[in-house]
Amino acid sequence: MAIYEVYSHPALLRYKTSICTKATLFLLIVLGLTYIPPLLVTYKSQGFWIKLSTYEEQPVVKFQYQILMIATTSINGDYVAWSTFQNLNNLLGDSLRIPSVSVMEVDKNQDGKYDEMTFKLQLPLQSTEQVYSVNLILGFSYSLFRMSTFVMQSMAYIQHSSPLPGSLLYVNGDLKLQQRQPLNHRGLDTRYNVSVINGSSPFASAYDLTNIIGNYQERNVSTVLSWPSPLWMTGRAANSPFVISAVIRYPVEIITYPFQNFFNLFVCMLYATCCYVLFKSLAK
Amino acid sequence: MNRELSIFLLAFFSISLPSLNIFAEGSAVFQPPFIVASQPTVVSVLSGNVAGVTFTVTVAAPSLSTGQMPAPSCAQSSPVHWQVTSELSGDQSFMKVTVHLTQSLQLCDANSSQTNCCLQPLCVVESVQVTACLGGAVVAVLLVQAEIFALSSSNMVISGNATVIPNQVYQPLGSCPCNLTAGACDIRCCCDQECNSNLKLLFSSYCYAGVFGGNVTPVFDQLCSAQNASTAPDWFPFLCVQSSLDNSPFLGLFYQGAVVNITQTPSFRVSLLPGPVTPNGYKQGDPVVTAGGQYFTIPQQSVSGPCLMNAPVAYLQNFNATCVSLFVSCDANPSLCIQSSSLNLILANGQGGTVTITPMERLVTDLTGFVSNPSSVTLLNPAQQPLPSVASLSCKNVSLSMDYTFFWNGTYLENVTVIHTLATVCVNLTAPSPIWLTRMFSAAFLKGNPVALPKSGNPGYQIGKPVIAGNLQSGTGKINRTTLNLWEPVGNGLCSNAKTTAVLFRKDSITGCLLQLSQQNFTNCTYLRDSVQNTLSALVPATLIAKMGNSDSTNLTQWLNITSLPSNVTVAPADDLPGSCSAVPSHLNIHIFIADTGAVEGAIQQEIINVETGFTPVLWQLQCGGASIATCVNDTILQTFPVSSSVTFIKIDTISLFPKTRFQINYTAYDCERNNVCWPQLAYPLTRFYTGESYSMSLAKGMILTFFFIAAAVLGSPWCKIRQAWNNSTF
Repeated sequence: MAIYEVYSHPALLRYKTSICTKATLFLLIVLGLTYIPPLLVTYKSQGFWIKLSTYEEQPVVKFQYQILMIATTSINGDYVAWSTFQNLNNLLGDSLRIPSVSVMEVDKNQDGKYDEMTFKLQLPLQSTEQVYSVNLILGFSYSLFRMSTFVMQSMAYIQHSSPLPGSLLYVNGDLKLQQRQPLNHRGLDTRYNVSVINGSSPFASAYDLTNIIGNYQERNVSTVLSWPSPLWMTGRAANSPFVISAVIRYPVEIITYPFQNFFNLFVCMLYATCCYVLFKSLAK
Repeated sequence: MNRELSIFLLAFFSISLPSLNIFAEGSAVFQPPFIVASQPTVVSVLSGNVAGVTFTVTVAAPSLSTGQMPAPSCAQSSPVHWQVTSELSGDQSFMKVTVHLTQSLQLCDANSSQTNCCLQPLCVVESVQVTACLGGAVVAVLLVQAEIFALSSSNMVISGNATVIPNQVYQPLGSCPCNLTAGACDIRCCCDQECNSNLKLLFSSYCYAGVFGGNVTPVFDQLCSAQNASTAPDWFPFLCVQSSLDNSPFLGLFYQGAVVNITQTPSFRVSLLPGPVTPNGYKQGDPVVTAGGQYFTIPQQSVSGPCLMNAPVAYLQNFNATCVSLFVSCDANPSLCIQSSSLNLILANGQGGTVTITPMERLVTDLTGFVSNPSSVTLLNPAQQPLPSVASLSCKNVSLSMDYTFFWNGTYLENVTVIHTLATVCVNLTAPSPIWLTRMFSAAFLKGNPVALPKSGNPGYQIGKPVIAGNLQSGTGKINRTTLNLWEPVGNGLCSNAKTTAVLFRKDSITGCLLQLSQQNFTNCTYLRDSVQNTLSALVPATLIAKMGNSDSTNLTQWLNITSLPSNVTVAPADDLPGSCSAVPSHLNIHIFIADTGAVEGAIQQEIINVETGFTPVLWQLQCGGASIATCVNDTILQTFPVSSSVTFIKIDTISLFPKTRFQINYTAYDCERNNVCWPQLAYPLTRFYTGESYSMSLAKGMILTFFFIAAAVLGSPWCKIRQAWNNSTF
């Protein structure tokens, strides 16, 4: 015999309780179990908070025309030196030897930022002098703008020594950013916008290489000249100068910064709410 | 292999030896009388009374009933495959008897009708009786038991064609890897189909099992016993397989038949060098060739600084080389003492003709710049001939420099000259340190009028070319060309011996020299200031500067005035304390303003739009603090003071002449270099900033996405309802 639907109606069952009961507790536990275990499982499996993020930017680098050069001219340790700091030149006395320096910064791709610098230093030498080792500090200003505005004065340090008297030191490398901690994601950061060498100081300690390099390495963000082994050419012609020829490139850097999880979440929620309200009102 | 196999077989086979009859009729005997032969040739010795002995060969079979061999006889029987040769010894006491099989041991082809071949691999199995007869009577008997296999190797057809690898899906290639010889049984290869059961019996307990036998069962990763504790993956041991090795995941895998072509080139190769080719018209960078078809060479610096003596010269490429070498005798280094007469080489001019180098000699009077220690050498006057023969001196004509000039036109050389600088140098052999000689070599390619002043660009300045300055000649209106100069310090860096060098375009430079001053110089500061300023002003011996690299020296509009900035420091005499002078203009600043002013064939042209010179005043003070108090008292003690000059090229951006406002600097919403979320990158994948894909590809993908979006919108709920409402209202 066929069955047919005579009548149907929805039924609603209501289970009621007061607040401080076992049922309420059970409800809370169930509610908690619904949300917390998936959260824990997801978090422990991979984690979902991004802690560090990176961005790419070519820094704005400008040579500051700060140079400190020390060359050993005999195996006994005699040296000549020169710097762009007047106070140091006064201190050097008879060891001061003024070289001829020429610098050119080139913007190869015409994007408004310099891409490399060619540096040439010709150090005159007497016939009895030969160069056995060279220390050279070049000062740069280094700025980043994309996330936080980061401005610092940095340096490139070139050092080479050889048992053979040289005629030319050739260096071709990149001025790389060295980050010991992430940069801020916004704001202005001028922590290290101080000169690497305090040229206004009349004291000898300000020009001590151990102090200069020690203070510089204290920085959490600095630059380092990354170069393959330098070329040390021998066979200097009589009366010709010792030449330091350097090409220093300013490459695009990958910069790390702390990812702003809450900021992003907040911004997303704000946008979503605004959009929702806007469309809701338009729909009405 | 086959012979070895035969010996092997004989060692295994149990041969029933026939009982031997010792014939006492004669006085001769075979040694050995019984031979088991696996080769076609056997040798025995008949000793005793051997004179006049003849031999008869019969193939004998033992009697079926008694098992005895038939009695020997001297009667000739049916022809046999065996032949007997004998060789009598010198004293006729014995005879060497060789029994040789005349039949071929080649295995018969399946379809050929040859008779002189083996039908089976075991070719000959018979007993051969060799009877020695003397006058019809049997003297001695040699019994040869022969079991000889066919030669399996030499009848194989060696084909040059590559082996055809069958389809591995149907026919496994590696079923029996130890089957190395086609058509023959490989020992110990039990899967070889060519081995019959008799042969297999011999080595059945020594079969190859593993790789060569084809039974390969490598251990697989999932096996529980395969993993050790250190390298086990993290699912181990929960999900490993307990199985025997036969049940392997490699079952069913087969070689796909792909053949790898070996294309590896030899690691160390000596490539064949093409020799110089006599050119039909030189191009820039082509080697200049002598008429004899050799490279024309001039010493040049290479590798790590030293000169290479046989370096070829490239067409239209100028160079300067300084070569430092030890001052030794001409015998030790003949290149030091080149004669000018040997320099008139004949070069190929590039048009099929030749051009001869014209050498010109020049004698130098000053060895400075050529010798490391001028005090230990003596330069001889050219008139002072012959050379003095002093024991401590060694004199010779030394070749100091060679300056080649190539006059060219188009693709050929018109003329070549060389200025050969010589000096007769006497070296003090007792000099404590070795003397280093600096020799210079240069090549310059010139076209047209060599005395015309070179341009520094056409029309804009080229980077690295000298900046052209000039002075207006009164009366003629013509401009005398000169250059802006900088110090070029030499030696100890004092201004008294400093040279000057030209300012090069776009090369920011700073140079200087040292002035030696004593306390006396500081008594008149005005004089000191003036003399320093005049010294520095001499570096800019011009009032005009050429705007462009090719500025015409008769057209004043192509020149600019050099602006001298007045030093606005007023010096009060009271500032000048004893031993010090204030505001000494010791630093000359030259500011050259340049700008991009158009482009020629895509190359941006730069010109000079202004030049400013100025002085930086510096306080000069004698350092007589500390222990050097004498400096401020004693006039003879000198102190050095630096004088410097610098050139700065300042590029003026002609596009935005007005400086940026604070708002423009701080408002970075449209500056993607300074702002990560700038507006131009709103639709980042569709903009030119996006370089992850080609623009056409990203555009196509964007359009597909847009299509999906529109489709979803059209098919989605609001449009559906609108369409339904539309349909309801119309129908």
